[in-house]
Amino acid sequence: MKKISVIIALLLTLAMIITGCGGGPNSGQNQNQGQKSSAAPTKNDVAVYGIHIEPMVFWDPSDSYSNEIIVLQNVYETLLRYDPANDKFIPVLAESYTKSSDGLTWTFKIRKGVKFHTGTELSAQVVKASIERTINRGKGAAFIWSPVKEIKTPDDSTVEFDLSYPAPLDIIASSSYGAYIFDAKTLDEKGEDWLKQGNDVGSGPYAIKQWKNGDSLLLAKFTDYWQGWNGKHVENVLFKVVPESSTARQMLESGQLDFVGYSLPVEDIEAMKNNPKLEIVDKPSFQNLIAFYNTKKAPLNNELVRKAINYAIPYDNIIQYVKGGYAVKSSGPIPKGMWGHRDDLAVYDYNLDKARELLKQAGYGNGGLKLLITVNSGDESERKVAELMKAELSKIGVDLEIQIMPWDAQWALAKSNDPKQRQDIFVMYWWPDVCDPYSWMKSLFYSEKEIVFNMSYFEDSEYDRLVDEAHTQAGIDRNKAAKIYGDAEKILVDKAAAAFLYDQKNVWAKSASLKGFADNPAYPGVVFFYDTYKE
Amino acid sequence: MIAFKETAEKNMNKKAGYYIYLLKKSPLTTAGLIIIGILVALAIFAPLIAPYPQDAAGITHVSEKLLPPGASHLFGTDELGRDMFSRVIYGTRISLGVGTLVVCLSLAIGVPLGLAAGYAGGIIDEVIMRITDIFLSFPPMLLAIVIATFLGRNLTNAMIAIAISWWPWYTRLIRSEAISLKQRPFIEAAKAMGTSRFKIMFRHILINSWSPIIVQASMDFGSVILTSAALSFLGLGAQPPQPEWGLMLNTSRNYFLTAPWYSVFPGIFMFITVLAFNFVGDGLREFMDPKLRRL
Amino acid sequence: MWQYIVRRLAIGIIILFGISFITFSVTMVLPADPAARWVGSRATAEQIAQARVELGLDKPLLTRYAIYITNLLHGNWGLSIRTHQPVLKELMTYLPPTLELIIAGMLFALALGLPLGIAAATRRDGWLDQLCRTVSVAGVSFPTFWLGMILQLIFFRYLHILPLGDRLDTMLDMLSPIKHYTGFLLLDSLFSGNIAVFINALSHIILPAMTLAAYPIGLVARQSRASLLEVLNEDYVKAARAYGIKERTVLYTYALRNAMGPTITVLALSAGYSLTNTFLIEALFNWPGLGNYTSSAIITMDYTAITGITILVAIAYLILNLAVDLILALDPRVRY
Repeated sequence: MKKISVIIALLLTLAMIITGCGGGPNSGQNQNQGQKSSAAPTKNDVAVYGIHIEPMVFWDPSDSYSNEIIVLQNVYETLLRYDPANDKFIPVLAESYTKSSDGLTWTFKIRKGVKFHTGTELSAQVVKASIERTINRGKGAAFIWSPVKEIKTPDDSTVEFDLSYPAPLDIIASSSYGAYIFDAKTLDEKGEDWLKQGNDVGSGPYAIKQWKNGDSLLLAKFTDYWQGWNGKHVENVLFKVVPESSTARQMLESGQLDFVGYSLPVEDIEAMKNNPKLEIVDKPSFQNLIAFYNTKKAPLNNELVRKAINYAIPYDNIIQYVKGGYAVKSSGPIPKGMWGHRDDLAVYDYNLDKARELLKQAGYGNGGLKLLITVNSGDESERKVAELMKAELSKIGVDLEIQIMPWDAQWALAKSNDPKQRQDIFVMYWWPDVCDPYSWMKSLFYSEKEIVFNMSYFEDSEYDRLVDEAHTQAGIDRNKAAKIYGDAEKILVDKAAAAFLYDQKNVWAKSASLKGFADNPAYPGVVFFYDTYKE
Repeated sequence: MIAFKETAEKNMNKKAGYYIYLLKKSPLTTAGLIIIGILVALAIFAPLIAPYPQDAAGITHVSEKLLPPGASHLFGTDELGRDMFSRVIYGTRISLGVGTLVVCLSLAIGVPLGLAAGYAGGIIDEVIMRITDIFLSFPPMLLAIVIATFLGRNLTNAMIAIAISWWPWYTRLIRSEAISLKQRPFIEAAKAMGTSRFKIMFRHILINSWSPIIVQASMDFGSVILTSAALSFLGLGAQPPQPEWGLMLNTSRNYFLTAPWYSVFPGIFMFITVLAFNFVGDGLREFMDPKLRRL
Repeated sequence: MWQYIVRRLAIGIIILFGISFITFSVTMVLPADPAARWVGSRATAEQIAQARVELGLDKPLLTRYAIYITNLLHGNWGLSIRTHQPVLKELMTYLPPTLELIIAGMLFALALGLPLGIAAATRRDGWLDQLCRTVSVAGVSFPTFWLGMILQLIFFRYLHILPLGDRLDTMLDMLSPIKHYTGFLLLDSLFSGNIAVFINALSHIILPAMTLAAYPIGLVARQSRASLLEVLNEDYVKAARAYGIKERTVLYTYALRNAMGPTITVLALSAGYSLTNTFLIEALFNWPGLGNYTSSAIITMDYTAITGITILVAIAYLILNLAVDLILALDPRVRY
């Protein structure tokens, strides 16, 4: 007995060593920002946003290029904000802007009386410093500024951008990533680690108050916000990590969440529609699902086989049963609602006879084809699409092997040095970093020496030429540019470089008591909480 | 000669009678054996029993998704309209197959190493045992998870991963048997007669230490099925549309609050299968270990 | 005995080095590019190449391992590739919830398994004894994740009495903050005198702890039955009976006290298995612990985190294994 207690003591010591040195959970409580209210909030001034993974990885506003936007768009601001529904730019930190007729010089008038959470005042120099910092770091979405040759500050409230080629700087300045204006000086003094502990240098309506890694992040209102706090606004925002959709639904129904920031299964959406305490908001988005064909590997290097598969995809079933109707069949790579979209490119229908015919032409009339499709794990829609494709392809003698992989592995396989090792079909969503067709056309199908996102390994010099031409044209005449992009899109569809499956709608489930929410597809997943209030 | 045969037969009968007696004393073991028999039959005759064999292969009927259990679909349908009963029945094939293959593979790695370590002793023993130490310093499932991640996601790799994390147990078991057997007179005699080492290890030692191996293997069968299902549940094993129970349970997580049947049936089958093997393993252990025998 | 422990610990440290090296080299060949994960999902080829240099991934394996081990010995377990946070800090954040869950599961197992074992021992070969055997075999036969889902269905979906998952109601967590002394929510809320949080946390831990307890319940029932039977045959118990001391008193004062030791030990030893089970259970109940952290690390092939977890678990396992061997050597009553 005595010896056993020695051993138990040993185990307990281990437990204590391990827990003891850690202290409690690491909460990034701030001391630096005096303006923040210190009193604990009450239920009605807190809006809770549920997200499936920890959003905060890149804390640096120059580097952030991912899920952080749902938080950071409430903490940091940009010069302009884009409203794609009305094709308008809303002035934020810039009061107004003008461009020269050649599209090479853009002048922004900077708003006066804007304070950062650090106490610094906004000025033209601050704008210049933060954009230059982003460009110099070259991380994240810094490339959006690549047309910029020089930034000048003729006076305290004027910023002038000189471009090396015509580019739509209004779109760039309102980008969801990489366009934040922040107090670069304080940031460089305090360092990145300070930021990573849950701090910020923004000017937005909310400042970061408390961060529990992997669990939640609390924003509190910034009392000196330039737009003021008159009227009804949510005062605190909690971002809560809820990985399971079933948990998210339950928390929404029991009032623990106000907004779910990812799409719930359509079965849940249907059931929640009838709940008067909840509201389902569906709006067209700029996100579409694409199945990329490996155009460099047999048998999909054969255009006929690619077309055959395009005819074997049950588009309508996918939209009706996988997406519950919350999607439309894609017509080319550029989604509906984005400029440059063409309505006449949905040329492939579900038609197994045609598919068989094409396979026969290609010399695979007796079947025996084996293809590997890779889809991202954790996404129900992608998995279901793959399973439906498999079922249909088996009817035309094609054996589709499904591999569900985490993104890192899926992507690594696609970039394998040996092209024979790569998948045949790669399923991936795309949404724009800058609200511009260029995002799809350049990133996804433009010839790449080293493969990054061109998952079709597509190479076509005529296509590349058109995309380059359209991109320069966009800074001068957008209508002309749209037309050229349209020609490039047609090449992709004619050559069946990929199956353009659907443009999806954003389907947000929220509590009915959260008012004032307006979906903006240019900032996917972002709720601008300053515009909302709770009742 | 005839007389000899008769006694042998008598002995056999006596032995058989003894086993029947033991089985009678232990109804749970008997139940386990019967259930295993039924499951094996289900696995073999799956194409005849399952009403929609193509559904198990992945043919979808999306308009019939998530139907509750009823006359046409005994266990209901899944999120793509496939018949759950057919898929669960076909799942028996996968799980029994996985269990058998993994246990055999682990034995194939573990037993020769254990024999070598126990019989040869010295530096060989030391090296082999330190290697098993390293393997045994992880929880077996964590090890299997890491290996499966490394090998890539499919059922074959998951089986290899489990076998790699499993063999050291057999090595240890056989080694201790070999050590205790090697001092016994009949081994000494075989050695004196000049029998080869190899022959002694596999003929004499292995044959005489089979009973603890059988017990361990039958106990492990259930654990292997659970582990492989757990790997599939984590997305590291079977890939859709394979009708693997763990994978079905994983997929059902998004639907189980509204469609409970989706989760209930694959789980019940898995539970009953593992339970049956554990009852048999438990019974065997008691037969073999007179100290535990409750007579 | 001390010599033996020192020898074992020395071997243990060598094994730890072996394990850390193997894990480290295995994670290097994982089918993913850590540099690509480090720079984020939409990086350019140049950014990835730059990150490879920043992370030192361009150096040879042995150099990198040497750097890693040197840092490790200085308490720097590296930065997680996935979260960009220090691995040690993260491990320390996620460990207490997992330990809390494991301990709660053990207490459950004790509370249910012990009475069953006692009943089985006192009515040997009766129906309770058969039940004890059935339960102990059934407990180890449950697919853990399925059991968890069934419990969620029963207690959340149909009876509406327990929450589906998580460690605490979100609102309560924010509106009524408690001080963190130990990282164990149940203890911290008691120390802070916050009964509302305590009750809420309790209601959240019941289902995952019950799921976790399924396996050790059988062990406890079996071990307590066996030890009790052994003790009840001892001469001093027979003597006590002969003196006419009540059966109840004999059982609870003399026999049980002696049977408790091995039972608790067996329970403590099942901790290793429970740790593995938390992988599945934490995912199911959205429990913010080490299991979930490990799954995320593996999914994203976050090699610094994977190596860190492996080393932590290996240390715990080494000590547990040492304890097992010591117990088995010291106490012949324990059958594990």
